[in-house]
Amino acid sequence: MKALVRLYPRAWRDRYEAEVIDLLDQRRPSFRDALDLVVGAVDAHLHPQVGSAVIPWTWRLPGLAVLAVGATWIAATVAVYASGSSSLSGTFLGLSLLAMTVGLPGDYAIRRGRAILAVVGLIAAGVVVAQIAPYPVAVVIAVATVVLFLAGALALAAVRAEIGSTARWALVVGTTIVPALALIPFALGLLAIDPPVLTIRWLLLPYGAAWILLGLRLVVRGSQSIVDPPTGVETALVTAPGRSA
Amino acid sequence: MIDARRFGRFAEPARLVLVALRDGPRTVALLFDDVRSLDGPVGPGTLYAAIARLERRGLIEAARNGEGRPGYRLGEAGTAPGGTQG
Repeated sequence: MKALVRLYPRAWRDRYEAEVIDLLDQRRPSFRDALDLVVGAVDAHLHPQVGSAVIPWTWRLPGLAVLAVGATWIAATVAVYASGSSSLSGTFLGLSLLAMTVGLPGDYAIRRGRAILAVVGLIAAGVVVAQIAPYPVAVVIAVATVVLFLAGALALAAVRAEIGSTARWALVVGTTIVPALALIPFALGLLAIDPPVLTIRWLLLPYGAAWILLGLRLVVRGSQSIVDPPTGVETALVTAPGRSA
Repeated sequence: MIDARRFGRFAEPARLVLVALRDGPRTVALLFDDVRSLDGPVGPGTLYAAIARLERRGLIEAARNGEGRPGYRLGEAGTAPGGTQG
């Protein structure tokens, strides 16, 4: 139960965490109280009362994009289950993977998302390996071309977000190339979903759900988006005296 | 005193916090009990959403009892005429 207090913003915890834990020690909380704490945490993120944090609406964009990713992925999964058809669901999966690559701005990838991106890459790599083997070299070349395009766009996003070093934003590009690799064959309907994806279908729904959770976290916390000015924005987000978000 | 637009759905719990503190400072646990007795199953998340809004506006302020337990009392804005009238 006390772990739920960690859902609150840092500035809020700096001010109230000890009190709430003291209260929970003295008054045995119910399940309803636990839900109330979760709702309170969402409110504390959306309407911060402690510190001077005011999150620009544009900082919600990455989270909304990631939410769309999860929703699209789950829609694709449901389509696979319902119809067994590869074309429509393949397009959904492709769109979902495209949104993954553009929904994560460079700063997010570096500061909070390396592990998640690595997981994304591994799963997508499995999909690609399962799908791409029987197809001609021309498809691979087409994929590589689009990947280069996407990688370039991501590099620009990373530069705009002022990722410090070349190695760092190269990491951003590298960890998103694999999902991009999986994109094009599906989106163009060149590769079938069945049966390889169906064999790993138990991974698909939790995967979409994970993106939705990530999106919710990003929406409530805010994250500098690629449409924000590249400098000086995040450091202005002071949430408590002497502490920056 | 409590602007319903700014307090949103926490306006009523906030008003009840002010009512509970009208009789003097309370530890957090006692305040929790008082608000619950006035308004039913108010949870800790709702209580602290109300407390944070009240404290930010100076309607209540933090205090500690003799044992060092955290608590609250009415702030200057909360003791002003109409401060606990909701």
